[in-house]
Amino acid sequence: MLSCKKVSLLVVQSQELPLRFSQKMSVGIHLLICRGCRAFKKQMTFLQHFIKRTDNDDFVDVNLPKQAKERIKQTLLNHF
Amino acid sequence: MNPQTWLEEHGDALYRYALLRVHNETEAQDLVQETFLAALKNRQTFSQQSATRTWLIGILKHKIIDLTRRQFHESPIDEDLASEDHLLDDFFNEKGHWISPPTAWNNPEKSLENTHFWQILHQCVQHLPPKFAYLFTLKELNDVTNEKICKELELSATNLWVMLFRTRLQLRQCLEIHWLGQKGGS
Ligand SMILES: [Zn+2]
Repeated sequence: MLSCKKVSLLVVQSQELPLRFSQKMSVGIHLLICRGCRAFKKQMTFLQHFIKRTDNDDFVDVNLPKQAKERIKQTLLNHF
Repeated sequence: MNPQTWLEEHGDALYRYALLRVHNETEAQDLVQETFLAALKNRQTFSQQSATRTWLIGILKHKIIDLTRRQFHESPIDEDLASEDHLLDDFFNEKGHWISPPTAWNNPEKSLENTHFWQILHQCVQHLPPKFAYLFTLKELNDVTNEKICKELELSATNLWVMLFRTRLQLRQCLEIHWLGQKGGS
């Protein structure tokens, strides 16, 4: 019987690497009986999705501040 | 291609790109400036086949990865986190059981609907120990491969996985406390 520590690590790894058949079986059995790890697995899927969404700058509603823009403009002019 | 209009046309986009990945406004602004300077210097090498924006983002990305890698190496090792054996001690007991088992989140998609995702992530990433935050940035936000990360950050594969695992555990906890769990509210 795998521990929660081992199972949750495998859950994280399985997001990137395919697990071996035996690992899949052991994790599956553990998840059937362990509510904490089940919640963890679901949350990891959500977190991954959440991070990918963050990777897309469409929703970031900030612009380069005016002062910074002015500063950069001057620097660039000096290098022309 | 006209460098005179670069700042107006691409400044905001580059700034957003950087801000998502360095977690600090000053650093993001400096990176934008450095990107434009590098672009000016190398404008002969620009091939018309790629769009100016893509070319500039490419330069910026390179600079972000470089900076993050440097910050990783320069940040001190947290004493509590120095030993791999104890890296997960605040989450699991000696038998490997959860110290505080995760509880199901109530409709997380909905709770986050009206919030700025990047601000949430920023806040949670900033709570990570520095080395973990830099590792997270390299891997998740800049898509640097595990192989490359291990090589450049001088980590073993086991080392890397334990760090990634701890990062996940901590981000999970941060989201739960501040946004999603019954404990945090709002
Ligand atoms: Zn479990």
